[in-house]
Amino acid sequence: MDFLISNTHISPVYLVIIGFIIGVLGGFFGVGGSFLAGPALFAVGVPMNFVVGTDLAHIVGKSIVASKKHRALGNVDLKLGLIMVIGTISGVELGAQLIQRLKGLGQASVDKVIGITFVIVLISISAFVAWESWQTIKMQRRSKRAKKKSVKEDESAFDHIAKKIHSINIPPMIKLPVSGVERVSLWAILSVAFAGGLASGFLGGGAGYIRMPSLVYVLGIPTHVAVGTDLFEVVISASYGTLTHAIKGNVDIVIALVMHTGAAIGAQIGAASTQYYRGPKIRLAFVPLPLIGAALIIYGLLTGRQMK
Amino acid sequence: MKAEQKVAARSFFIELLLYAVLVFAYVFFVVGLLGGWVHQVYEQHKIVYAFAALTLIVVQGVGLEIITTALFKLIRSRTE
Repeated sequence: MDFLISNTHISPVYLVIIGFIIGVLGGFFGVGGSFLAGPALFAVGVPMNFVVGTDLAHIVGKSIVASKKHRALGNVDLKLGLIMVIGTISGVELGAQLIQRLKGLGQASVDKVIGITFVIVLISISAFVAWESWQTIKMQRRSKRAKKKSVKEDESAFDHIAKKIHSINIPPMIKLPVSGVERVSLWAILSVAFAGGLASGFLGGGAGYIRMPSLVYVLGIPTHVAVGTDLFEVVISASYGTLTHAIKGNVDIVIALVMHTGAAIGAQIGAASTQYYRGPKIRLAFVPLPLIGAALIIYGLLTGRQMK
Repeated sequence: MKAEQKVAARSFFIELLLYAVLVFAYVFFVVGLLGGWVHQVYEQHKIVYAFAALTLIVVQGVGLEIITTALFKLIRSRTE
């Protein structure tokens, strides 16, 4: 099939299948999936500027479907999501400014610095989430308390950190009833959002791989709500990204729509599946995702091919 | 599997099937009827294109799900 806007020829079946896989992962883990969609589009000859813009457009659609499904399941904390938007946008701006500064050192330096930082961040997240969720599962097995709890009631071996963050008394203090958080400083929420935004602006993509674990471990948000709220946040940030990229001519909306046919169906399945798994198991299943992203970047750094 | 879970799973898959049919029909409609217009707008008015692109993807995500839910309710009310 010919896509006139980006001047490419791609099989629509390929786009639907890629969209479906990313949709299932996105609906289940609350990530945009740009670490898979980007290389998948680039591999079939889509120019890099269109890869970035088109991926964002497809993320908007998929995240709307998944967050709507999560909202129906009671997994979206709108108050938390809206507060986080402010921190995210500031972080994205700083990340983009850092890239501009790095550009002064040359494109090769930009690729190397971003690539190495990305690999370190992804491997660290993966290792930490694996360790924490495994510890929590072991702790639950020992206490056998998990069986008495509902699937959505969450537990983490790292709960004490979230409790310490909740005890920081820097006003204004916010109550998050949907997430079951009695008191948390607004600045703690903004800091987490800022870190996610910084990663998004500096490393690219929606940065769900940072935001989702941060919501769980730093703010003590239950995993199901963290997934749903992260998706809601992705809708807003990716919509903004789609508009700016489309104005610059970097979005092939026809490719995004074809990809979204698979993604929309996959996102429904992914989001609905979360209700059958406990938080620590969702987090443990999340572990290979950052590693796949890290492997793609290492491949790009070693071969000189941009894969993100 | 409990009876309620079976009913819920069946409802989910029927709704998903309806949604899938609509999503594919929508893409064929956009590519077939609006493909030329979208390309023309992309070449001539980038700002209009940006908003049209966002609208097209949002409609595919939200609009079709609303139609699916309505259709599903209609089918269920007729069969019960």
